[in-house]
Amino acid sequence: MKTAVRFDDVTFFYPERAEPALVGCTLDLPEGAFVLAAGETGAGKSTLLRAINGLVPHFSGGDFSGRVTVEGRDTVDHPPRRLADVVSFVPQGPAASFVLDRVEDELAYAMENLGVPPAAMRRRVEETLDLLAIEPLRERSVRSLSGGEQQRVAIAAALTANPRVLVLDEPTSQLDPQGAEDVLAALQRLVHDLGLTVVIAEHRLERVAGFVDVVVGCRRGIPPIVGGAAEVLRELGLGPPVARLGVLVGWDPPPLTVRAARRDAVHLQLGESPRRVRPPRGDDLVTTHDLGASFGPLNALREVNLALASGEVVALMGRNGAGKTTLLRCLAGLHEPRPGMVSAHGAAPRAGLDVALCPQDPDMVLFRDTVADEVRATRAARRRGHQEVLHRFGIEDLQAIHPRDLSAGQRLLVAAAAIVATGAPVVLFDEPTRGLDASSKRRLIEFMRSHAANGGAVMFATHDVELAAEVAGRVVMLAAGEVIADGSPADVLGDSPVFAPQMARVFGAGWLTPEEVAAAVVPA
Amino acid sequence: MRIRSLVLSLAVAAVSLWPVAVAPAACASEAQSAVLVVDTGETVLNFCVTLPVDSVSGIELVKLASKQHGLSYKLGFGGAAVCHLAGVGPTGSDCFEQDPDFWGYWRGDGSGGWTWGSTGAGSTSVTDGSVEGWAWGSGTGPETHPAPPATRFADVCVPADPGGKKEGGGSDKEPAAPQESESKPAPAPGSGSSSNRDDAPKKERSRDKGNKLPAKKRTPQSVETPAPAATPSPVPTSSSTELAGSELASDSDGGPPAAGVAALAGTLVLIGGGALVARRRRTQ
Amino acid sequence: MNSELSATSHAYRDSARMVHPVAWLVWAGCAGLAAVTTTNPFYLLPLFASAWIVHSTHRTSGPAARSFRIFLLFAVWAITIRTGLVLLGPINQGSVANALLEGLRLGALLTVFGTFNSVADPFRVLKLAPRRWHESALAAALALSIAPRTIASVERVREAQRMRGIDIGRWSGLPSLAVPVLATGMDEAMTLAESMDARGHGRGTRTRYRPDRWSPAATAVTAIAGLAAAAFVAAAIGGWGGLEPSTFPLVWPEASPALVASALAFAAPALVAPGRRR
Repeated sequence: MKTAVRFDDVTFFYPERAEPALVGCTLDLPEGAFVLAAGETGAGKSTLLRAINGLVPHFSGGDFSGRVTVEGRDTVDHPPRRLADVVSFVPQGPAASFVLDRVEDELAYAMENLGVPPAAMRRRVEETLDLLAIEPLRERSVRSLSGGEQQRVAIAAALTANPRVLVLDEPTSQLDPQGAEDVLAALQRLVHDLGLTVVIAEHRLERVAGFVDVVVGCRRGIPPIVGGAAEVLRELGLGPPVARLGVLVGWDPPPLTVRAARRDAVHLQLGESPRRVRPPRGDDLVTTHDLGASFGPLNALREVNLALASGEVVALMGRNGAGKTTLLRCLAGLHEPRPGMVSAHGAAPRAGLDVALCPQDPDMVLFRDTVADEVRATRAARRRGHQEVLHRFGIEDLQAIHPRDLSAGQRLLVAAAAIVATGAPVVLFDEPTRGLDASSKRRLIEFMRSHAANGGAVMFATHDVELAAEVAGRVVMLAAGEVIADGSPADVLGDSPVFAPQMARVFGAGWLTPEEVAAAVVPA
Repeated sequence: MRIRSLVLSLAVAAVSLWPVAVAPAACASEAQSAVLVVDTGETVLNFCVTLPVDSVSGIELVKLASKQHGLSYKLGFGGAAVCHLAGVGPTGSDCFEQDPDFWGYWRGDGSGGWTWGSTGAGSTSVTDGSVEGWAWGSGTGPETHPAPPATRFADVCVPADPGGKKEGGGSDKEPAAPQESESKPAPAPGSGSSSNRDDAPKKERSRDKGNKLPAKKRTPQSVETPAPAATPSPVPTSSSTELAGSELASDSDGGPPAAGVAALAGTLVLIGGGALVARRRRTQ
Repeated sequence: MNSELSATSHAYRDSARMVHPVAWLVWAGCAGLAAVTTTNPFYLLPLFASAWIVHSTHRTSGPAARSFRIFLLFAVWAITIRTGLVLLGPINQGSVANALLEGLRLGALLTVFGTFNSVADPFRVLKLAPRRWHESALAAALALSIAPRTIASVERVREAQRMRGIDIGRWSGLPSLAVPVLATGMDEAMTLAESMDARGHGRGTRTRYRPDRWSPAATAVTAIAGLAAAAFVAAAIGGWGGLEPSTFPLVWPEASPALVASALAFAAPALVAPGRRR
């Protein structure tokens, strides 16, 4: 099979960095392969992706050695614009990468630059609109689209250039499960029907592990390992929940999809599904009464009645646009309830005192030179001392490092620490999943558990079903601004076709995490 | 539809505001005035300038004299200095273009004499009863630069009498000084600082004229009269009816001009229209 | 949140009434020229209002349009500062009025610019820039598109930092606002620039997908703006119309009907407002 992308012993240092972002990277990606770049944040996935289309080294600068060849072209000799006809790149969070205002114009942008004749441009735009099912959006302003729609438009805009290789950086991180599925299905179709080579970086392995052909396992400071999904993921210690289960119960190779897991589980006998012991529910820390909220004529929330009690960890889920962020902001006292009310101990919640909200983008919060200074900048931390907060997130060893030198997941933890340092008993997280790699996720989970155990309450909005399954004691589901479900994860997620965690899909509604399942296995 | 309603509202607004425009406004009655003397070297112009506020700067006095009596002037150096008065002097922004001649700034010392202006005319304070003078010539300081002829406040301004116009002074008041120009020989370079040179003769002359003098109508536009022509300058009057309206009825007759009212009406209509569109857009 | 607003579809403009970006450039240039010639509020106020109504009727749904408010606030701030500075010196009505009018002129210029920014997609204008100016036009377009997004993030940063108990009001609180905002702005600019680079920007001969058509609306806008500006230029050269009214004494400035009408004429594009939702 022909090679689409070849790396020959590539080592790369970003400007003024002592540690290399890529080391001795050698790989051979065949044409028509669906390739996954996996690994912790900071291990070099983004760099790898950008090396394919020449942004590394032409846009980034730095020290580049080795060779990358794409469809026969050497990326050192060809700057990104010279590769634009064979490689297309979709960065993370595509909203920031849109150049023009109208969807149709955005699709045509790359073709205009490439000098494609107008007749061909018209044809390709129409075809791509159909391919990604976005024809009804053609006249819309890109800013007015939902996250999922934006993602599809970005992919469409990348496709019109007729590339041979399509590179996407975390294309599903902001999408709800259904949206993610749509996008990944579209990508699969491209691989199968058009023979495109698709390279994606992704953390949520449960979404992609099933259909990737090649996995590049990036590791910090050493060359990546390349191979089939099963072996590489096992080597990295990563994998979707079914793979983790496989490792726990000794399936070899561990399954990567729900389907494969079902096959393997045929002979498995399970004891009783654990009735997850809900920790005693303490006093209500913040409650809402018929809460409504609106943006002008739009109703974002409608008659929401819920309460957060001490000791709870609650997952807030729902489609993009269902009102999760608005609800969190109302709870934090940042958005005016109209009508209805939110109360914490009888009065409106005071932001930073009763309730603290950690924003989605940690970079919105970080401004000091070291992690310790950052946490100390929060006023309450000066009194209380910052060491304790650092410890709760397991980041004491990062104290003296400049936050911007940390990986995305670590930055999220620092921002969370800075917010938690306010001492508010109720801590809210707005989709803490961008760039959240496995180790940061672990630390976040531990924080949530300990915070609730110490009498606080945590609510986090998320699309990550597995995260909810693992740590939440309660799940609230929103749709079109209303609460449509509020209960235990088993009840709410267990049999949902869209939101069910993998364990539930394999074993039934009562099962949420691999650890639970493994613990209940009846020895044969 | 939208066009029609716009035009209609514009018309309605204009029509309803029209009476405001044409109504004669009450005149502000000002009793404060100052004297401005302009000595071009060939002619001397005296102005009694009404002050609308307690204090103005020397530059502003010149502007007022222009507004009230038609003195032509041009400022330079960004409005901080006087370059051109009554037809004499450079018209660009460099007041020293006709070096070594320039307009020297003098301030009346209270008894008819002059003190060289030590600061720029933009930062001085001219109040009721002040006398200000400008003389064209060369010389960098008070010893060398010519000064205007000695002038006292009462020589030019009849003491203030609130209300209406007046003729030259009441019987118990100082006679109004004649407003006339006189031809002079070229300013003698070596004249004394607080120039008393022409003091005596002028005073006499003024006394000679007698009590009553008819208030003369001033001529419009810049006053560039050669030697013997009388330079008219009205006695202080607060009514503006004497002012020849060279400009459109925009002066201190109190009301805003008609076109201005229309401008404001149009502005309101446009703002309203825009707000309407914005609201409709938001509710879509 | 974008996703929350996806239910409202801001359908794009009806292309028959669409005004070509160059026509907007001409409009803005002419309105700016008119503003520069005068400090007469009878001309400047209609100019403000014209810019406002043109913005209201023709604004794109992009973030640039939301930044109009910022330009307006900036204009008000400029006027206030300009007048306030004068109050530091010897105060009299005339100098204060003078400063106010100067500020008004500056404010009108800013508002016209803000309108141009919100009705003409800067990147569409960029595409028309001749090659020689391409780099600077690109920088300008990038700045114009990033600025509103950056400004939008100010509010979010402020909220988050206030929650932490950081006093943004004082000087010491400034980095807590500036650093995240600027860093995010720069990141977004980098992402955008990266995206443009990766999609072949500046590659070579370009083609045009669906070039903006020059419509009768565009002709009308250009012609009217040109005539209106010509009136002001004529008044400036001929010395009539009271373009720079004296503020001393404080009297009503003159108002030439021709110039008033010209100032109002800059609102003409509002009459060819694009169709609304399909």
